[in-house]
Amino acid sequence: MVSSADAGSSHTNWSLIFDAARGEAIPASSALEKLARRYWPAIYAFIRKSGRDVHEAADLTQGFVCDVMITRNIFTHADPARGRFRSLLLSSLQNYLKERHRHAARQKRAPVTRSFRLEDSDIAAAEIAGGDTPEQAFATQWNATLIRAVLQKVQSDCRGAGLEAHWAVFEARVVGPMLTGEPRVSYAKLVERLELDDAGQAANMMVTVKRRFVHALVQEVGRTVDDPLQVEEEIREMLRDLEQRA
Amino acid sequence: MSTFHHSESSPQPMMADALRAALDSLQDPAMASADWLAHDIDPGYSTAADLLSNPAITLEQVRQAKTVFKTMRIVGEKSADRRVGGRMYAAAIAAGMVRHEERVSKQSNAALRRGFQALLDDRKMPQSLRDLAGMALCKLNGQPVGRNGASRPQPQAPRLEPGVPVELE
Repeated sequence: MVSSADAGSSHTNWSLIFDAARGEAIPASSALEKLARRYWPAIYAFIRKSGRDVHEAADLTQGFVCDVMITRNIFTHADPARGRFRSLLLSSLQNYLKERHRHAARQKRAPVTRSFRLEDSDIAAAEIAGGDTPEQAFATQWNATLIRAVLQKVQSDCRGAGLEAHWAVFEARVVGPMLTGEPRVSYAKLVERLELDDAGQAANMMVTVKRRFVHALVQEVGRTVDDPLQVEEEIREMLRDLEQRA
Repeated sequence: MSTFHHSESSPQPMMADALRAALDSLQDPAMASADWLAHDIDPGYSTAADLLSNPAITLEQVRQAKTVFKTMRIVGEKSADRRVGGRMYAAAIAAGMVRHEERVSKQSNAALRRGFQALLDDRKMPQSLRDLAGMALCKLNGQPVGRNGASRPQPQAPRLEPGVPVELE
């Protein structure tokens, strides 16, 4: 049964954050680079939607990652009691942009480290439709990043568990339409292609993987909150942010 | 893995579906699985109860639902999944009888009565499906189904006792 308690340890990302803050066990740049690579699309989307063009948005994204995430190390303030990393990141970003706007002429930026640099291909991939406001763009891209990571994990897990056929059904009925807008493959075709018994079996195979997907998604969200009991509320908040219209 | 499809159609609805699926599963995993199967049959319906209790359900949808829930009651991962699968299977058969006067199952009358009665008595199941089961039982027993589709018990004729006046309505 998937439940909030199944969110698992929330320590994975938090431990990464604190290791980054203390600069201990894991070299700070390595830990922070991992965080930056994970969440920068949402940062970029927010900045883009705030009215900056592609180049300025890319520049500011790199600046935020280097100035705030690495140099100033906002994660010294990442208090587990405050719960949610997503909201911490968003408020820090909002403050950063205000600060940059006020001190645009005088602001000195830390040199962009080699560990984090946006390539043109990265930027193109982060250009995602949806969102009337910067906050909604952030939410859209955050969710996209999260779901993409979860799908990759589930695909890998299915392969490892000998559930390739299950994944094939799930991909044809759910993932493909989600990622590419393509129409769903009919169960008749899937039954023939994968040599299944009938549509009933195929449909239930889809459900098996969808459950794994949901379980992995809950676990992933659980890594960004302090208390597993916050997972459900965090997902509700993510959904509200996604559905909000300006 | 490719990025999300982002032509004119926003990826937000699909991501929202994923988040809703997570929330539904947190509440009731077995019912969520049934709802996903129903949604898969017809994306216009988000729950199995909505699909199966809808008077406009097509016979083809009834057959599809019967097939997928018949499998769920057998292969469901947990006992709760198999129980819900069984109830939805009964509901699909009921929908066929009530909405289309079609018997989409080869099960005996006795077996169908047991299935419909179990659904009717299961308070964990949505009321709309329990009502559907009631209607199907009436059909099976040759009783009229009420004008509004609700099942109504067949009024019993007064017993005639010698010497006792019968009150006539």
